[in-house]
Amino acid sequence: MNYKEVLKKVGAALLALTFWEIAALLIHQRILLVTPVAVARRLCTIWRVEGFARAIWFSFYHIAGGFLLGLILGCMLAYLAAKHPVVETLLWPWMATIKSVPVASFVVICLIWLSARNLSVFISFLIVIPIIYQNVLEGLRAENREMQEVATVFQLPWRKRFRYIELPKLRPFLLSACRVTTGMAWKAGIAAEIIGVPNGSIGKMLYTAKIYLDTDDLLAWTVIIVVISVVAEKVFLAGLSRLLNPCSRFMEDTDAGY
Amino acid sequence: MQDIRIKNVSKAYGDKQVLNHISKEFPSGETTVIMGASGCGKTTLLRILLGLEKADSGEVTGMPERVAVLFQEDRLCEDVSAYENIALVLERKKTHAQRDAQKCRIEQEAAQVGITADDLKQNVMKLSGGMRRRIALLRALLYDADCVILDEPFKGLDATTKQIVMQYVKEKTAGKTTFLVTHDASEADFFGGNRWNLPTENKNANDE
Repeated sequence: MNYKEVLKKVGAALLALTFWEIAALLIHQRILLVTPVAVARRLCTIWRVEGFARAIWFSFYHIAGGFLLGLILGCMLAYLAAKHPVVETLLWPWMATIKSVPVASFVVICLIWLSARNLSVFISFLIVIPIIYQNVLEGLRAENREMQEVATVFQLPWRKRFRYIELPKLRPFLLSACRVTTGMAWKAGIAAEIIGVPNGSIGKMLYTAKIYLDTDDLLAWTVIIVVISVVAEKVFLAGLSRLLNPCSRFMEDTDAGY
Repeated sequence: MQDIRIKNVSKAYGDKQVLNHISKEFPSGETTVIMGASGCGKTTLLRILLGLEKADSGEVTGMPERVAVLFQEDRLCEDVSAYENIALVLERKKTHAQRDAQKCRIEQEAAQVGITADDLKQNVMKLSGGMRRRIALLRALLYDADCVILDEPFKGLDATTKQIVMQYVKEKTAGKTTFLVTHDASEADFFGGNRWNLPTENKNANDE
């Protein structure tokens, strides 16, 4: 993104904040809408609230855990489905159900089976797995016949086939799936926490703010969720992109002299 | 190493008969320059020799286990260096000393076709078309194989580079059973050996 584009985006954000400020001043009801200045002020003090760091850590590791579980299992199932079409057929009703059932329904159903503490793990897992599965399956099935022929003729071992031929083909599919699901996992995970209200979670903080009609806190926590979600997404995607890059030092091949 | 023989090989794509009862013997260790009009089945024949395509009828015998190929397209791995594209087909070296020796060898061979050590470090997609062709050619010629198949190897090279590369190919393929497809008579003259004009109609084309 060049300098001008950044300026344009910052300008648009400032304009939106101005509209928000004006609307809040016009409504003049703190319960209905607080000004962005009030939210910013609250953000400067909210870290002093008891259990602030613990709430962030609790929600982070539960949601990130569910995301990683969905990522790993989604990739494994996609690999199996690509190798054995019968697996895809068997998984079809499960994936279709997970994709189409509303998150709130799952949360309520899962509350019967799971403790509220682990609900966000399972819900973020459920949101992530069908998208990862579908994208990775498409990536594995994408045609790269020409390079497959090179691998066949030169009798490349599986390790080289994977690194130089399969991985570059799979990379855009996996990255795009992760880009979509990191944000979704956070939204669904927090929604699950608000319904399950586990102690010491961001969801509990949001729920408490709602009960006491504390709009400053509600919006301040929302900003915190957005920031954590965006930072987690950027860091995770940068790491994954580097990990999946054939030139990456993580993938360093002993044949590579350069 | 035995001679390679194709016997009564036919191949059709739908209604289009590409190869029609082709028979030919290719002496071991010699170069055969295959010529013919576009669409007469040269590439199809090479694909059958490589085992990438199945002939509708007929048989191929004597193909060695290890065959090196330069396809009509460069078919290089994107996002990695030119060096890695060449090293890709070479045996994995276990020790630092072996890897250094391999690196030295690749640099020396690349220098013979006008590719510098700096070029080898570049991402292959950043190189010019002619350079990519030479990288693909190096990959095929450095692979330890008894048979080499080159489909229009000098495509996209300027006249001076082409002369240098042709000389290099001639040296590297000496003593190996080589198939070289070209449309250029001067290239065929340079390589001498056996010249085989694949007939356009491919009707009962047999040993010439």
